[in-house]
Amino acid sequence: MFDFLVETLERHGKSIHAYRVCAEQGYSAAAATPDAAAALFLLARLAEAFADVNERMPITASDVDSAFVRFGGHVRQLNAAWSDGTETARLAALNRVAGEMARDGAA
Amino acid sequence: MFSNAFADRGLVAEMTAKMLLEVNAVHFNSDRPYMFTSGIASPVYIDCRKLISYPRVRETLMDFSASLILRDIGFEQIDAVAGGETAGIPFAAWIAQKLGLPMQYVRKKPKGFGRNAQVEGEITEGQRVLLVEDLTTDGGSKIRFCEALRRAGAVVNHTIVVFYYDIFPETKTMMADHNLTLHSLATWHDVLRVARKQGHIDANTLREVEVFLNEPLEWSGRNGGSTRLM
Repeated sequence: MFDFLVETLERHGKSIHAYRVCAEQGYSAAAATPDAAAALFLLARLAEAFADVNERMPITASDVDSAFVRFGGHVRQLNAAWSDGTETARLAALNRVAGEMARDGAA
Repeated sequence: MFSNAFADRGLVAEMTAKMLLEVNAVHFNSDRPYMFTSGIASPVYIDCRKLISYPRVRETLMDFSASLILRDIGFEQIDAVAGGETAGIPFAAWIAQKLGLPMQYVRKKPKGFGRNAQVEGEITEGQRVLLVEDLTTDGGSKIRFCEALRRAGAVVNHTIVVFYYDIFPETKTMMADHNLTLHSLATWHDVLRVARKQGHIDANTLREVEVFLNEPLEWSGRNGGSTRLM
């Protein structure tokens, strides 16, 4: 459901540019997909925040890899909840991912 | 106002490189490569934002910039100076002051609505605006800022930076495709020359940096970065 955002990051070399493209795609998809809008918006916001915070900064290749792993983790949790199909599972995953983002200072 | 003599181009490049090294704006680390915005991995990183904290350094660099603008662009060819958010703004302000010109700045993203949503300050139709930024790697941000200024009615044909990486042949071609001429005070080749002369970096790091500067995409690919400009 949300893997296309991870694929976008990979296709664009996990760069700051990649996160910008990922954010644009996420926001567009959120607008066009009412039953997954909150999750898509959250992931788009995460990608946008990463690009804003790290653009032109001395970020290392290992920092980029760590961010990619974290982003993929959020996507996996949301994928699982949306596959499960229950509203309760989706809400729980949204809250969990939003909490993790807040703790990481990502938003 | 601009009060300096027209310094020799080679001297400008050498002095700029010396100042960048002196204020520790240049970082070398081949073991833990840096990642450019474009995804290119690099053993070198340069932070021109540090320059604003050194008055004698920034004053000299802005005099160099003013002389370069007058010599290469012309005395009456620019009507205003625009800084790119964020790092370009202080340099644009100092250059505008030296040349006695109005100033604007360009946001990375539009704020509000309308054709001027990305530009702060007064801008008039047909105004010839010089875009100022601290540095250029692949030139992508210059194009985006330039397009925003053009949407607001400006004529933008020139951009100036303190530091130009000068390692991707595509940069100047891409700028030319957008009718934009890049002017700069120094490049990596100048910094490397001075660093070597002053013994700033050890021989191993120096070799690695040279390999990167000669074949940046190949070096990037071997060190976890992208192998093409995106």
